[in-house]
Amino acid sequence: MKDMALIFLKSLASRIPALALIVALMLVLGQISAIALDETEPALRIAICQESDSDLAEKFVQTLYGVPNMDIVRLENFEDKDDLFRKEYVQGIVLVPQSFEENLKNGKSSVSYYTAPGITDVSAVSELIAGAILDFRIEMQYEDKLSDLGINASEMDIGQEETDPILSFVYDGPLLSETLEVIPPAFGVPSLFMLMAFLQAASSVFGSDMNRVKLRGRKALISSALIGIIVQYAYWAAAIFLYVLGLQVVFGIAVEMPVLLSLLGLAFYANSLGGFVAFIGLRRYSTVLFIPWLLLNMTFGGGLWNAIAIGNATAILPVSAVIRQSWSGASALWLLGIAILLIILFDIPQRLIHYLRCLRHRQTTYNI
Amino acid sequence: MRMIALFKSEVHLLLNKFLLIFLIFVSIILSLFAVFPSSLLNGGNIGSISIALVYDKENEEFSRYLTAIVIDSEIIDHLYVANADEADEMLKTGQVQAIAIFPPDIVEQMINHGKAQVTLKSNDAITGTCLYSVLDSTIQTLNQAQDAMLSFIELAKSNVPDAESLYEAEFAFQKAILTEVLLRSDNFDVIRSADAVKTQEIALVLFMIASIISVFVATMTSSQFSSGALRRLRLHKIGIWQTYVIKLMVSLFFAEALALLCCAAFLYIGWEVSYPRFLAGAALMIVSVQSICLFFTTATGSTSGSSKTALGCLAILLFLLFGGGGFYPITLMKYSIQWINPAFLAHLLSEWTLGATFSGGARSMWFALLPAVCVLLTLWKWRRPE
Repeated sequence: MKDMALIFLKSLASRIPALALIVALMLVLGQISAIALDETEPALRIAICQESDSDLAEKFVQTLYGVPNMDIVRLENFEDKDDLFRKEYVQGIVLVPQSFEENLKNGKSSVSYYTAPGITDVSAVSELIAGAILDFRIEMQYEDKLSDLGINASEMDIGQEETDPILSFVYDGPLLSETLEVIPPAFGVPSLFMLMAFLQAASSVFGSDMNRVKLRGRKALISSALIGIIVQYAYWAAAIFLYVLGLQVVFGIAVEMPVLLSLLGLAFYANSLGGFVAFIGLRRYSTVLFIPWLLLNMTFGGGLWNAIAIGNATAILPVSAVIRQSWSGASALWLLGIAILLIILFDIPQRLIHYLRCLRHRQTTYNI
Repeated sequence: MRMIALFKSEVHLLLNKFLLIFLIFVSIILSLFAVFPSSLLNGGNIGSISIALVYDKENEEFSRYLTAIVIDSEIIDHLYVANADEADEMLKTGQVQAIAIFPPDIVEQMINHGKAQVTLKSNDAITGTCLYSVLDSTIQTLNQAQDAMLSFIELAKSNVPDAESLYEAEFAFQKAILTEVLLRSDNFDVIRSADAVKTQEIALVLFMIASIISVFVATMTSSQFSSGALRRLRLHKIGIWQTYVIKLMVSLFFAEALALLCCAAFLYIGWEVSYPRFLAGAALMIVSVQSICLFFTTATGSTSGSSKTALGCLAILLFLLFGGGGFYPITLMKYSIQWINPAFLAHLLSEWTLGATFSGGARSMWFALLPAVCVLLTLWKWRRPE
């Protein structure tokens, strides 16, 4: 009994650095996902350098200030743009030149947008700038065409209505309803978490390939299997506990029960799968499955990319189940069943090839 | 002398695998450029959003303006016009990332300056928030166009004597507005520090050079740990820090070899790339990525097999690639995340290679800390009793 306790403690102690690394990764990656997916944060952040003090230029700048989900930084002197890029994060700078009004009236390019270093995507900001200038151009066309008819349009006013009240934004995603505020921090984590658990479980759970333990007798066999399982679950319970504690202490985020249960469900799933693979002596499949499993969970499962397609295709991806918090006994069994089926399907061709090779070898031997 | 001998033996070890490394590198690069659509490589754009519009198709004028604005939008990749149920189904199956629902009475409300509710549904927070900003601007433009059109007709009616002239004036104004809508991107210039597609492609090449060599070196280190080779080196008075420095130098050597081959390819394709900057970029990338892989190997890989080390390193590198804008809307990633990610550093370096100024020196400095942490970790591990 004393020996068993010692082995248990030694196994746990030997994994402390790995445990620390995994928890740190979970926290960092969780935060990355949380920040990237935080819908309260502005999606865009640009700087504006206004060189023209005309009314039109001021109106143009105010239009950009009115865009929802966009942060704007003022840059007084355009010469300081490199300084700004170094000190503050902006995706680009909109330069409103002295000749803004003149260029606008002449139908020339009236503003310039300078992208920040490393930023290659300008589509959203381009649309916003184009939209703001387009409003002026429509107004100008209105005046021009009316003056063609001999009407003085300068005293008329168009576009008095604010548009904000007619647009509302309804998140219909699995994560973003108001009641699920704590989900994003746990969002990017599960795929890495699950796969590491899967790999870890497969490497430490006692399996039929551990022949040297078998030689030590039935009692040693059972002890090893028990220790393997206890260590594995203790390890991942510690990881989840530290992660939840870390979120609370470092980031001040309290993890609610559904999230905690989802994480525990995921750990249970991964450990069971890893244990099953090891137990039937197919430990090698834990590494074979690792990369495709990781990629699928990161992309289609929504692990990193929040483009989760809610359909039958993602049913076999446990990360999507966590994100939707739809873990239940039935879904866990369904996922486990599918994963085991995949492993068996992986195994059948390999065994067949092996059998055919043996057969050929036997024939060759016979011929000699 | 011992250091040189060790360097030679490490080079020799990796040289045996260089052909394999080269083949893996070439096949990954070719498959990336062949398999991924250009929109994915086109600057990690968010411009690949598919959207379904739900509106009253019978109102021709509104439809004309709306589709003229939305179809030509840089942010929209695929546009579907559907009824509410079809659109919901599309969102559910992932065919579209967002649905914009315009109420049937929107035109009436616009005419009467009333209020209508346009609803944007999205299952994607990143593209959703961005699309919200753009849709808001689009509605503002629609509103403006509609108001201008109505005011114009009202005023023209009282000043134009006959119906034919009124129709002509109305038609001319409509045409002018639609032309403005379609040519709206000519009203401003976008000045990039470097070509977006080339930046993305060179960034991927730089990241791949660093990743593949780093994974191989990390795997070798892991097997040296488990076989006891590193312990034996200590008996020959070669310290841990020296071992790590040599590993970084060996990686650097092979990264430069691969980078030179890439330079030859650029020359053949005819890309105007600064070759010295590309080589320097490859060096900086390998130091950053190798540090992360060695840190992972020291922290976990030394206790597990080399195949697990390789898989672990690959997993981390994939995360970095996704988080650093390899296949991701880089614009929406936060500064703090970009700052610590070598995949984003690859973007800055590739812009530098294409002639822009480099502003990422300070970003990469923190990677130098990682090898020092590796040495301390290894020493701590070896001092523990067996």
